[in-house]
Amino acid sequence: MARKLKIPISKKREKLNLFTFEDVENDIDYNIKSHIEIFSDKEITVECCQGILDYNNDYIKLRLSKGNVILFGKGLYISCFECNVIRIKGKLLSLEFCM
Amino acid sequence: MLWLIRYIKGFLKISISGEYKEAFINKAMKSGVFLWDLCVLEDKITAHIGIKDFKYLPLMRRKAKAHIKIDKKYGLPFFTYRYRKRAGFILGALLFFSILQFLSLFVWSVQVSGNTTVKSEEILSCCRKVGVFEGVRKSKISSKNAAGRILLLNDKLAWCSVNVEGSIVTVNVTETKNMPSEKDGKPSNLVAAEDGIITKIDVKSGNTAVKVGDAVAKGDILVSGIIESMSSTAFVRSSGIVEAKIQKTFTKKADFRIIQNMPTNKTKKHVTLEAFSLKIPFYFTKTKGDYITENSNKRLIINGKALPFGVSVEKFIFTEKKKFNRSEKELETLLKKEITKEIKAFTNEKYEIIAEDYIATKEGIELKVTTETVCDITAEKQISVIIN
Repeated sequence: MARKLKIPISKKREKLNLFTFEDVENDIDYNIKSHIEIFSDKEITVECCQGILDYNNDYIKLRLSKGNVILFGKGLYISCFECNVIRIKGKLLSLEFCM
Repeated sequence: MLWLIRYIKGFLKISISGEYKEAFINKAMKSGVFLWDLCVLEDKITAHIGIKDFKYLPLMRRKAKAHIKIDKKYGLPFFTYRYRKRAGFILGALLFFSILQFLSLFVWSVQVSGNTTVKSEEILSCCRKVGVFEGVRKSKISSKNAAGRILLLNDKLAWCSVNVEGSIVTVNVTETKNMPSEKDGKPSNLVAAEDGIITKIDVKSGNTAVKVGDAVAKGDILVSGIIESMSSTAFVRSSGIVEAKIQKTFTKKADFRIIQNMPTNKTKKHVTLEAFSLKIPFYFTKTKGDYITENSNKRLIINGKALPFGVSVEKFIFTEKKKFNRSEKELETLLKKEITKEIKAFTNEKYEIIAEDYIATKEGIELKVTTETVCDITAEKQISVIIN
């Protein structure tokens, strides 16, 4: 059995910039326009994605700086999500924008 | 490559459950915690996270009211942690990699490619002379220098390159094409190599000195390399074909009684273990007496590449001198076989046997066979020209 990792978090806290759940909404920069790239029906990259609102294997709702985008598909999974860039892979069926 | 870096650093497969799973992911992203390969499994979200980032999860977990469970641990840190008390294991691994590194400094195999007529053994012996052989340090090989020296040692090679690829040295060669000999261009005559009657003349250069139907003796000029005109004399290299009907007698002799070295059932094997240029013999005594040797060499081959490890077996088959008495019929068939071989070696053309005489001698039989054949009888003979 591996030993449980006990690292004093207080020392590293300066790295963290923790947000509360409401902060996601408050932190949105409305001036930045999102950039979406679709690679065939297999991959989609969304830049300036403000967060995930709903996540499911067949459905992902993303918060953009202006409105939301809903992705429908099959076996959708998030390949990576960092620095407001989200890459989703899987079989994409449709894309819907909503305010 | 990315996977390898992640594996070295170590990562975890976690499952996130709770009411605000998505909020937790958003928080992680905003906090600079990197998650990858997120996938929904029933009411959980599974994700991968680096060891260093995992330290920050408890704080976020509390705020997002999510539950985190470690599903699996991957990476070198966990592996080394598991075996931290096994010093022998770590030492063994270190020893293994250091031996591997040490052995990779040497040449394990030398391969030759591109040769058709020149034997690989011949090229390999040249390589050995220039210091390219199994067991030599790779740093001691200078590819350009070695290639140049191999070319100097072997005239049959036109181009050579020595490539060191890992622990294998590949010697690529190109052989020389049949270059015109030194004789080319020098004036010469075509003379008769055998006695005969001319049947066909086909001269490409030179002055024809005979006609069809002429009888010629061995050494007679058939085509002259000296062409005389009204004002000058030219010397050329004669070439062409002059066919003649020739008669040739072949003689072969054999005795009824012969002494032959016959192999016996007694054998002896000398086994030698080979590793690089080191040879370890597994025998102590020298072999005495009459024997025939048979050598076999087996190399260790992995993925079609011969490694410098092998076993060579030298088999000694002892022989005995035995006297045999052969019958007249046996001797006749033997002589006929041998003479047929001799005739075939002399000419490739069709031949006709004119006379066949078996002469009985005191000790055996002598066979005389006279053949008639039509073949090219030209032989080139240089003309020495002295210019004052």
